[in-house]
Amino acid sequence: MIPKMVSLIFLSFKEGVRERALIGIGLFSLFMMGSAFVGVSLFMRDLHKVSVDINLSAITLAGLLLTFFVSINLISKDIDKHTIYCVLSKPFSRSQYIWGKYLGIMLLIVTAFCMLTLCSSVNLFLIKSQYDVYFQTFSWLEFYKAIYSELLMLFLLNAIVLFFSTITTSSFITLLFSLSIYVAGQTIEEVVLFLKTRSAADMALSETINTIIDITQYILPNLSVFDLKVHAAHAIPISYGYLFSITCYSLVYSVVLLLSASIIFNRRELN
Amino acid sequence: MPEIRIKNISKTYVSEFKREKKIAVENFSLTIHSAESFGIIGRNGAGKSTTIKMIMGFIKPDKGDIIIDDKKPSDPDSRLNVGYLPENPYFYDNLSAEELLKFSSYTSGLDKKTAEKRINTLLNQVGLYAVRKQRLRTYSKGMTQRVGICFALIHDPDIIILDEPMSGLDPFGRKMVIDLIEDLKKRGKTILFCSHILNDVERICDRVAIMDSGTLKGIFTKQHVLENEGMEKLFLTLVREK
Amino acid sequence: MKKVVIIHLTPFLLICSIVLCFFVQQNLSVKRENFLKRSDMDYILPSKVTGLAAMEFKGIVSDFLFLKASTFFGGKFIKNETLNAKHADYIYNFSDVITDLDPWFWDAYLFSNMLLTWDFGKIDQANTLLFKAREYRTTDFKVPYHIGFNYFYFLKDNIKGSQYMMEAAKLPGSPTYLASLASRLAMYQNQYKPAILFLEDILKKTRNPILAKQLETRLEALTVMNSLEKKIDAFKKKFGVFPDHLSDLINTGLVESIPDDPYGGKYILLENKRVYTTSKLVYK
Repeated sequence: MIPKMVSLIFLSFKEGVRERALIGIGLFSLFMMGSAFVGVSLFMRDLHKVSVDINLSAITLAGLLLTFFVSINLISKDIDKHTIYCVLSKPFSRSQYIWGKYLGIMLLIVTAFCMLTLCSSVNLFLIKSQYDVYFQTFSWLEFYKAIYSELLMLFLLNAIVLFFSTITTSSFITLLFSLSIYVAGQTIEEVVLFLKTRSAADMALSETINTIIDITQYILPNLSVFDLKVHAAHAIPISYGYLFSITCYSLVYSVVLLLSASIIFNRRELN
Repeated sequence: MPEIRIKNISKTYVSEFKREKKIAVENFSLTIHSAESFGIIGRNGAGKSTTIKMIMGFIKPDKGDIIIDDKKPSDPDSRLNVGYLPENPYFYDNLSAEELLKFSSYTSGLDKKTAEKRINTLLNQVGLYAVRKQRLRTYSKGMTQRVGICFALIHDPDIIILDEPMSGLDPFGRKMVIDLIEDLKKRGKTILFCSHILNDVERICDRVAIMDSGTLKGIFTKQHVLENEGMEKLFLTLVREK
Repeated sequence: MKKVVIIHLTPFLLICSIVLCFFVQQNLSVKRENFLKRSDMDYILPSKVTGLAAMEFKGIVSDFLFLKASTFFGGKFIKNETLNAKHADYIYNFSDVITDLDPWFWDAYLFSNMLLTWDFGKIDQANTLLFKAREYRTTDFKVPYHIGFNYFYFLKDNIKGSQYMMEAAKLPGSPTYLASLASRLAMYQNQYKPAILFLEDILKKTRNPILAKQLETRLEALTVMNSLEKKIDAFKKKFGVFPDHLSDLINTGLVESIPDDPYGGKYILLENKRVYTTSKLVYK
């Protein structure tokens, strides 16, 4: 017998995998990786950096597009088009629905990442064999670490998307909210750093503003901790301790979001 | 015994900006006995769908209780023995009928072999076996409706709840659904369904409830309906045009 | 009747509009060229803005900006356009932003260093960028090597020059001649030889054909100047005095002729008896 949660996860996965947008996203990132082949020859020495940059950016962009175009629709469309009835008329609780959906989407993203990682590995291998002299400071391990941490970022981002899907009634608002959280999460660290250094210099920031900054810093997810692309490009080693702590960060944050999503969703009326 | 008890439920919809209130169901009580087929009829917006959604647990009543098979709708297990067909069913576009029905059977605890057998029999019965591997996005409204019926019946539940089961079907489809329901009746299933097509209700139901503007106007047995010049006249006397 | 006309007209109109589209595009590309000529790309958003906007794509944005800068200057080199102080500021700011985005990006450091030192004589700015590189690329011998060279060759500070060369020599991967070069730097004072070594080293690893040609030209001029200075030393040994003009070398048969300056200038003998060129190693 197949457990019902597994069926739900695969249902969401299958529905997402067959989304037509997926082909476009895949082609786009393959095209971008292919452009590394030509693009790299325009640089002088740091060919390894440029090719890693392009490959990692292609994977990241694909992950983001997947999140903002496919996974946003998977949940909002479910509610909009009443396909959710076909899940909830089965013996599923609302929380199980949320977790099943989330894990289904994560399965989709992990699969996409595996395929893209394979493609970009082949791509990098080809570039590397062509310009081997310029790949002295290159490490496959650091490259894969960067992909892993990007995946952690998407775990968190999808939890955010899911959270907003449960409170809003339209996928557009969900898109707007999660996109702004993404942008804010990517930049908050730099903004805080900038404000703190500036306020130290001119004492311009008042106490209240400082507290507000502190609070937002703690509420907003700091997504820039997952960005190891520049490090990977220069093969700067990242410690396993750091990887472990960002893994925990992503997991804990996602769990908090999903639990609150379940609580909110439990009270939601599905008209 | 599988039965559905509804006690004094009320539901008021509040619009998004908390200004307008719309009473959907008010002080509604009903008991559907085991092995009975029960129809709720009423105009569009009379509160039929709302009642059914409350039974399924999609919406929570403001007041009152609902008990299905000794369980509350908030308990997921209350739906273990229930087959549900939503109004205007819409399923995952990118799945095939077969995949969707597999999901339905696995989540209700069927094993792989039984599921396959049930899926094939049901799809043959509703005439969709040939197109079972096609994506649902290519299905017409009537085909989707039939898939929905299979989805509800796949695990052979004891309680069957159908929201407008005849909508979008051609005469052949209608006959097929009626045959299906009659077959289920014979096998002692509890059936609750709502419709605004009076003839259908008249043909299948043991008992009928008439609803208007969220309130119950009356419950009648089939015999009573037949003795009193049919459903239509009864309905028109109870529900006045606004 | 009308319908038939419309049906037959549509393909005809399509062909007409495609032709029109072609002309419009041609016209536009001419206009665009003029537009681009007028709008010099001499500004860049500060890294506070660019860095925030780039979000998690800092690496690829830095690549893109670098490509933009290098094609811009590449175009100037191809057309032999004169560069001015504005361009120096531009390359400095650009490289500063690029290396804020990716502080390990060696291409950007090297590119700006080469331009700022050889083409603009802005040694301070070049060194500022290199010191930034030194903070991040801590195990890269090339960084102190270039700093050392700048001190030695451009700022004539042999002590600091050899100090940084020594630092470079200690780092992994540094060429073996570096240590001896560092110790002999003082001896090389006022000679073109280290510069030739330096350029040869860079040229070996340069793949960009435009830049390589630039370096080759410079190397050619320096080699000529180096050999001429050697001849001047020979002249001094033979006659006990320095020549007054380079033509004296021909008259005494030490050289057959003075080669042409690839930059279009003329080699001259300075008052301190060093060879230089009227082009100042910049295209006339």
